[in-house]
Amino acid sequence: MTDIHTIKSYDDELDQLRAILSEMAGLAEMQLANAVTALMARDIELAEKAIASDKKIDLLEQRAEEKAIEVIARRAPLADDLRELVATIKISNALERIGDYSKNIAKRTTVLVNTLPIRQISVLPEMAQEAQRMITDVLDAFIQRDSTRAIDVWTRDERIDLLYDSLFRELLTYMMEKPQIITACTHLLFIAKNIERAGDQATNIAEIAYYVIEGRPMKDARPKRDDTAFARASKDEQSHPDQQDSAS
Amino acid sequence: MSTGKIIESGFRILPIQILVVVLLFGLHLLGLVDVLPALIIAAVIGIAFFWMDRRYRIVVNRLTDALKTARSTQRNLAPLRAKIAEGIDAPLLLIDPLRKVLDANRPARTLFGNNLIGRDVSLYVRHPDILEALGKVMQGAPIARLEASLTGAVERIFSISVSRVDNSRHASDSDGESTEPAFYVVISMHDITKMRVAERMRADFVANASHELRTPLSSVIGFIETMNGPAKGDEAAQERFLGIMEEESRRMVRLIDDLLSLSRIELDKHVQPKSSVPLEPILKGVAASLEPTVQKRHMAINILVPDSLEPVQGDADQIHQMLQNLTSNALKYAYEGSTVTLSAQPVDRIPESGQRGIAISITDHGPGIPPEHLPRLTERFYRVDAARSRKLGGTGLGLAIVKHIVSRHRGHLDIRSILGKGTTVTISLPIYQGPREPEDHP
Ligand SMILES: Nc1ncnc2c1ncn2[C@@H]1O[C@H](COP(=O)(O)OP(=O)(O)OP(=O)(O)O)[C@@H](O)[C@H]1O
Ligand SMILES: [Mg+2]
Repeated sequence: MTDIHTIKSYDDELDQLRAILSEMAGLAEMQLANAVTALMARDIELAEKAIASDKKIDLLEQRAEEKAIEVIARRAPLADDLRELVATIKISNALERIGDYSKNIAKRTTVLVNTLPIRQISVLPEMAQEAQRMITDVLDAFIQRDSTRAIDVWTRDERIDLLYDSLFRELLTYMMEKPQIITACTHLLFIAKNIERAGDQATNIAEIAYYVIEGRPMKDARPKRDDTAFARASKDEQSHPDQQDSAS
Repeated sequence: MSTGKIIESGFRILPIQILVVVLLFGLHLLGLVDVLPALIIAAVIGIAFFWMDRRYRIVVNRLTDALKTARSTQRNLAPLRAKIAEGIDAPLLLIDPLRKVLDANRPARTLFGNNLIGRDVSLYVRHPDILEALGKVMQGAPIARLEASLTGAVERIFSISVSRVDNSRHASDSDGESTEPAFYVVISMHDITKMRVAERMRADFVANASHELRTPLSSVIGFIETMNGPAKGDEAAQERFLGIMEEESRRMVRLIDDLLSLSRIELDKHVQPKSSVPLEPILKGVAASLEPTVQKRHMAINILVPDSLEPVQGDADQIHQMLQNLTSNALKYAYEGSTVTLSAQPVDRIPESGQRGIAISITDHGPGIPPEHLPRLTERFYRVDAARSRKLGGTGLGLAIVKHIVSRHRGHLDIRSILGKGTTVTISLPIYQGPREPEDHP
């Protein structure tokens, strides 16, 4: 429907690609929000909606990739332009991953609804909101060429990490008090881990955006504060949300 | 009617008068008329013409003026309409069939940024429901309505309509190669955050208040029961119990006050306060009002403010409340006899908003806060050591209030603490920008 003008400017083509990424980000954000709301409200229908919306993101990822490759093939861009096109592919991959994490959360929710209810965990929605904000902001940074904003997003990831650590401790004490809820708590832990991962993908996009805008990589190692041995172990073990998905 | 026009019409009359005089003079030469009457007639006719012509000119001038204004109004209607759109206090976007933004009024530019014109709308508006509605309208639906909440520094909820406006000029182009689009789409957004937040908060408030009031209430009831039962007649015990009951009741009142003030701030969260607030008097006022606590714990407050500090943009009462909460925490939790420092200094960039600001720090020397608690301190009723905070009369709402005031001010809150050393809370608030002139369309 968009091919009305046969000769489009290169900028227009890039904008079209960016528009696909933006749309993906909107979907990913909503999917994460729905997944976590479904969990808090024990709402199976909403959880299923979150699972289903993953398909749309996958489709858009494919579209972004095809479009980027087509532009590369047709225009044979050099240096900066090529970097930008490769970046769009990478960003669309990262957004698709965020979608996978949310899908995983929603799947676990459908299981959790049938288990013992645990005390309200207010940290989870807070983590999700923070992740959502990071996704929106990092896309704005990329689209509006705002590298300082990209750095901002990148630093904010620490907050999600801290929230995760504190939730981890809280759940650990619950589990020690009440062994019956260990299964449910483990699901919650993986859910929190998935949100934390979504945040990591946002920082990943922040780095890509920064590189495209400034032409050099964002330096300085990220201040990581994951001092719980168990938390570190679970990180390696869960690097692919779909592979070891006990909920499906 | 300007005098210039009258003079002009007077000059225009001359040829007619001359014509009459010449005509009469000719008749006289032919011997048909006498000189004197001829001249008199000529003068009378000339004056009559002059007078009539003048009246006539005035009427014509008025008519042409009216016509001119009518024509120019018509020509100017388009820009006038744009001005109306610009002044409407709700984001409006005009979009073409290729999803490009053709125009955006001021609230829309404030919401989405200044450079969206000419670019694909989904670069800026990425909420899936809005894009879906847009898709439907592009496909031919006349209008779609929805409600969507937009992620941002503060969440904003909008009631949105997406409507199609068909373009009549498109059809009138005969050769079919029209450059004008067949239709436009207008997205208009109406902010209903306040309404929705109020609804949500009513429920929250009841839940929070009833939960937190339960503990002191059941302790009061417990004491009343003891006084009515085992301790009946024991005056010493009764006096002690009454003292505790008074304390618990006061705590309940304070709790309700805090909850109410939290609700009020939350309700206005998306409206950034705009007054100019000089900080030094506030810092001094906070220190003065906490003097009793300072005395009781043998503490000292040290205020460090550079000479020429720009005012911040905000609400003076709320800034006072927030600094008071933080300073009272410092005085409450720091080591007895230590010094609490309040300092302020300019910063180039407030994290997240990126604006220039003033950073206000409250530093104490005390036991500090364990790192795992740091990210959660601003939750309602969260306390590191609930028993201790309760004993000190705390409600656990102090930092929650601070967080909401900061976010209403589009500021930034940062808490750093070293165990055994102390805690520094830093609040950055944007610098006062002056009464904002509405920027003009590029
Ligand atoms: N300067 C500080 N040093 C050490 N701990 C602190 C400090 N400030 C806050 N805290 C901890 O954070 C918790 C939350 O603080 P907050 O001000 O929200 O509640 P509160 O002081 O308990 O009650 P109130 O509503 O009366 O202020 C406190 O209970 C305390 O444990
Ligand atoms: Mg306090």
